[in-house]
Amino acid sequence: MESPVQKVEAENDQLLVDRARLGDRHAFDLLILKYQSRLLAVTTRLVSNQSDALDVLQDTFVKAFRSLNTFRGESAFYTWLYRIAVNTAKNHLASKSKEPTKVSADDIGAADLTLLHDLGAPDEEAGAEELQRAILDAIEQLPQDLKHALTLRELEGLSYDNIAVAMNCPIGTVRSRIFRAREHVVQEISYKFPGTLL
Amino acid sequence: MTETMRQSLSALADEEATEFEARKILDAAKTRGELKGYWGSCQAISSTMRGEVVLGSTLLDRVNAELDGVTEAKPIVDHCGEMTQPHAIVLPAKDPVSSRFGHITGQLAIVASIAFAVVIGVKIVTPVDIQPSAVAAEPLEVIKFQMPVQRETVSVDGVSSSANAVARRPIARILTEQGVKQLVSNRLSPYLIRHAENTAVVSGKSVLPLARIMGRDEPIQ
Repeated sequence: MESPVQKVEAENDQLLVDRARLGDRHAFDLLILKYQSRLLAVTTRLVSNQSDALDVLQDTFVKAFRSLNTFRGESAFYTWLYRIAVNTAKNHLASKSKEPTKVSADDIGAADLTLLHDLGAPDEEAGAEELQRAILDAIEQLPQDLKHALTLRELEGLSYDNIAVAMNCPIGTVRSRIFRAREHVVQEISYKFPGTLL
Repeated sequence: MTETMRQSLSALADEEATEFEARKILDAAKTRGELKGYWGSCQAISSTMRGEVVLGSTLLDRVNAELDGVTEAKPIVDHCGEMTQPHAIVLPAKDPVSSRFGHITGQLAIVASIAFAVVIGVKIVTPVDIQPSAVAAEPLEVIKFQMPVQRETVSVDGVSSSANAVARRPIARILTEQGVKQLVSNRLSPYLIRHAENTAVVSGKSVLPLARIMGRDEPIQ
């Protein structure tokens, strides 16, 4: 049985899918941004190579967009995406196994460089890890009430209702605190890495 | 982007926005690129806190480039070579030659339909009862009111050419008032009747009553 948060998530995703079906690519962009990191973890585990995992993920989203009309909403949109990603990864592995394997030490080094480039590093000096470290630093600098609200939401996955109970404050305050926490982090990152996140 | 909009986006990222807020954001996302950027930032913060890799807009750009560049879908084939159907059925790529042939055939069909419609339309709109024989039978009469012609007499070898000169001039028929009315009555009535018939066919309205009045034997006084 799905929780109220899952139900709302399904409704919001369905709203985005409906818009994307009508040709609204911006709606589909929001879905990509929402699920790309979660799916990258899945595809990386399946193909054991983050560069290939990105290729698989790209194919996954392209196939998903072209098959949107077949999504009937019987399962969550992420579940549907997940299954496409798994099948695409299997296809990728099957095609890789047919190719002759000639891997040298130089190739491995080149693959790592490609990965760094693919991950959309803010610039040549700052890689993805540096960006993540900066985000975590910004979160550490947050006032205690903001950090607490954001942590309960992001790490514990609590709903605003439950956070309001846990923090003994109105739900509107929870919403405001989480928003202000994100604003602070975004401002910090924008200052350190201009034009980084998007 | 207003603070209210950003707060709504933050709530939407947590699945806590109202449906009204969600629809408002989606409408605004079409025109405001920075809204997508803020959404991406919220997702990046979430990913970082969960220990996932932050991708930024790299993958988004790649997917959009592929969707913009390639229009035909390829079937999803899984590792054992069978079509994969989780829920997804991907349309197979169309044969480009047959697609082009179908395109040309479709265009020809449209052109033929338009030509047929034009021919039929012209037949309906064109007056059916033109009565060409009646029109041709009556020579056009020119009514001219001329100044009195001064007879010129040219003498060539002692022979008067006045008769020839008169024969070469256009014949002007001077009609009396009664004659003019009779002529107008005779010619105007068939025109009006024809006009009334055509109008009735084309527009459903007609001036037939007027034509009947004009068609009487008695000329209009």
